[in-house]
Amino acid sequence: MHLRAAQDWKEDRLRNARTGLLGACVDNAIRHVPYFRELADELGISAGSLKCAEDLARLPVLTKEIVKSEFPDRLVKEGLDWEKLYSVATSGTTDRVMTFEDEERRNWDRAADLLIELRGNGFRPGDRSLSVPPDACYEHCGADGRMLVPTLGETFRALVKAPLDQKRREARKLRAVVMSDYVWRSKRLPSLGVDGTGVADEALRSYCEEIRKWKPRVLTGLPVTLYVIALYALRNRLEFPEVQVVRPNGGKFSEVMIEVVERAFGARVRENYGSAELSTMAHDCAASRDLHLLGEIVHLEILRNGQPVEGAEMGELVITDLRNHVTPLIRYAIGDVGRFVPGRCACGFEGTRFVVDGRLVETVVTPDRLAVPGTRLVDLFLRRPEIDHVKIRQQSDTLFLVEAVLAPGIDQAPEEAELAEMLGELLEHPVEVRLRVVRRIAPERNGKYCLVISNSHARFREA
Amino acid sequence: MSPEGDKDILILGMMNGNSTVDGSEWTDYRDDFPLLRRVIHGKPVIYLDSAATALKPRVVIDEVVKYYSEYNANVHRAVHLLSEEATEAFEAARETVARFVGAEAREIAFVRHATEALNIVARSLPEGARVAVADAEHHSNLLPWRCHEVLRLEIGADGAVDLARAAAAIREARPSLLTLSLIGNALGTRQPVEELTALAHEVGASVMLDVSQAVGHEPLNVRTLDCDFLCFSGHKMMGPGGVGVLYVRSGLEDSLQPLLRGGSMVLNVGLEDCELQPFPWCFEAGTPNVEGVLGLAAACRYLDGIGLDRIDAHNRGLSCLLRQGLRQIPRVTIHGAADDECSAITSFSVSGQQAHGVARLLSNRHAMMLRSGYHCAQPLHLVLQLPETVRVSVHLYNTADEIRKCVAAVEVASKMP
Repeated sequence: MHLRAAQDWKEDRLRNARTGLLGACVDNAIRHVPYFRELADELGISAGSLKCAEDLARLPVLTKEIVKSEFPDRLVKEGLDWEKLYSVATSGTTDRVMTFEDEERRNWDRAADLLIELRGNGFRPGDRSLSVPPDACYEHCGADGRMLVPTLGETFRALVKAPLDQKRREARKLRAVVMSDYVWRSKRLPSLGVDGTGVADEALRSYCEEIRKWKPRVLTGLPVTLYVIALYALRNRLEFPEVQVVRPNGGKFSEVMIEVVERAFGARVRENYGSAELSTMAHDCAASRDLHLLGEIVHLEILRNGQPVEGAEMGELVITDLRNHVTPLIRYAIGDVGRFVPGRCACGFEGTRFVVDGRLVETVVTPDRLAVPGTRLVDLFLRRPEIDHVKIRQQSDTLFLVEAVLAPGIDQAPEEAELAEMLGELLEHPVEVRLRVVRRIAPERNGKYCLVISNSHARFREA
Repeated sequence: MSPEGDKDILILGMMNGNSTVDGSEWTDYRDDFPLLRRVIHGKPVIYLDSAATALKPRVVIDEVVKYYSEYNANVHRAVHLLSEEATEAFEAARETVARFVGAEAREIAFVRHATEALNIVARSLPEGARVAVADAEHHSNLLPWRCHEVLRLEIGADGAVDLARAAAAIREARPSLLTLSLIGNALGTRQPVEELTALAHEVGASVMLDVSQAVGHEPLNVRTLDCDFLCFSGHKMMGPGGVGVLYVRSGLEDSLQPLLRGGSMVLNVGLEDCELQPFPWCFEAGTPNVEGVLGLAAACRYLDGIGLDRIDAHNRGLSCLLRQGLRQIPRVTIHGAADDECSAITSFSVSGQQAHGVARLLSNRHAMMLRSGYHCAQPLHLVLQLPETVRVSVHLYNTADEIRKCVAAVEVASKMP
């Protein structure tokens, strides 16, 4: 209720609340977390010295590399019984960031999810949802990445049989099953697997059949996965009357993907913003696809060259988790780029609004410092009727290697020169494109898709 | 958490006699390994994955560089000076490697890795041959044999072949070949090779040994092992990658067929037929990995110089210390052989934690490199109903201090919710 009400607060009240939460967050970190304590000593910062959100800039940005190399013992609040905490990990197995949360932080996660489902998506408990999450770990010997989901009965029996010291853990599992099977009634389908966008029509038919059979109100999945299914559904004139909302997770739709997915499923694409280590942070609304920050949970800065951006300039998203006192993530560079959206939303929201343009590593930055998000490059190619899927690898400032999957029935690839001219216009300088027609775009090792590999994104952080 | 110092000394004394793993001579050897100078996020690398591949000493790297810099030429072909030098060095390396395992040079063929050697022997067996294979084997010593009739040798909880059952099975089925790893890569269990070899020979079977996890760790002699075929990968004994060794007991050369055909392995080629080189050259088709072979010989000299008995004692001392420490952690279960039979490999699982998660955490937080998963030995895990495990494998460049740090890090990981 508090979170829901806070979304309607006026700007002054939001600012005051944020300052108080930031102060408490930093004080806790300096007092109880070794990494931040040593950092504060080095910088001459004491607990209680943070007077406003701008003071936060006295602390350096916390990178994923730092989190990985300091976690857990130097990044977790001292003196806690870890058994009573939740561990949270980003998806994937090779570059994973882990944090701990306590019950209170987890409740904020739940409240945020609930708020978005009920208020944003018009979801009612008991409604059905269906997700196609990424497959992870398949490349590793010994971990097939298939998620084993126990039934309610199995979980309950495990709770009864568990020794006393493991009851808490089993109770959490039971709660998760109840939430997943009965409150949200969610169903999970396997990922597209290593075939990626080249998955057989037979498999795509069965995905569509599953969706039609389960009749979900909300459909979630990796953007590329949903786009692949959508293309198949459109070409085979399949309809999904029950689907009301399509929501990407683990990535961002490009504009072309949104158009195709909305047409195929006859549903609106709704965007939330979150991550495993920070949970849900923002949501869109019925009036706009801009993201509304959950300012009671996180604080957002957008930086370019380490400095706050001006106006709606694109920059790197840096988040402070206001509610995780167990593993404080203060000025955490989440790895995405985006822009503030000025002004008040048509829905009445007065808090921070922003858009996420994509992942930093997918952003091409030209020698003139023009930053172009990967989704815009992808769209450039997807707008071509001959191309179904694309993956772009920046080799140098002027050379781009492009892998493209041609649409069915197309046997003539577009001219490289034509593509180069298009791309050159977008990047505002001449480039060369080398095109290779492929059968599929495969997922990365963590099961997600990286459609643009930029070799210039480091410029984003350069002064 | 750190094991008590007195107990350390006791254990190390038991394992090493007069030498301890803390001795300064062992820390001196660390200077030979350039990779150990690497610092990741302010922490020096702790390399505990030698069973996957061992670090390379400077002498091996120098040998490879020297070949490229001073006498890079193809072997066994040209008559020019550089080729002659390269050929001479190549054949001298064969002598060195042969001596290292107590064989003669004419019994040693250079291949790409142990996997290739195992495949050569497997493909040379007559169709329908019966091959005895332990359930504990690495995939490379399981899959090549599946084109024949496989006689599975059952293993006990420690991963060692059950001798009584194996004896009964071998005597009844009378396989034509027994194939076995001296030390298993997944659990580090030493197999009862002497008894099994005797059994195999009793029924007229040949014996193939994969010593990849033992070579470079302890003295090996093909005569003492009484095997007919033996193989190992060079990179696991500090040599370069892409070079392996197949030993074939003198007199058995004709029982094998080359896997590859092409240049260099023939004496004469007619319009329809050809005359093969004698063993071992007929098994080295194409340009061989000359630099790999030279580096491998350098590794042999390096290890011999330190003394394989000493390396063995050092490594087992470290394993013992590790086991002692891990045993104090409530959620940790050590798999495999008992402490007094341990090798340089220790596998364990942490209740409630994924093996990959533990390994990743140790890598991220402590720059500690160790392996997790099924270690390419899934049948072993199936048979023993073992989860994925975390594997620590040590070598002469590891120290007791690193082991203590590893134990402390695993203890932290074990407390993760």
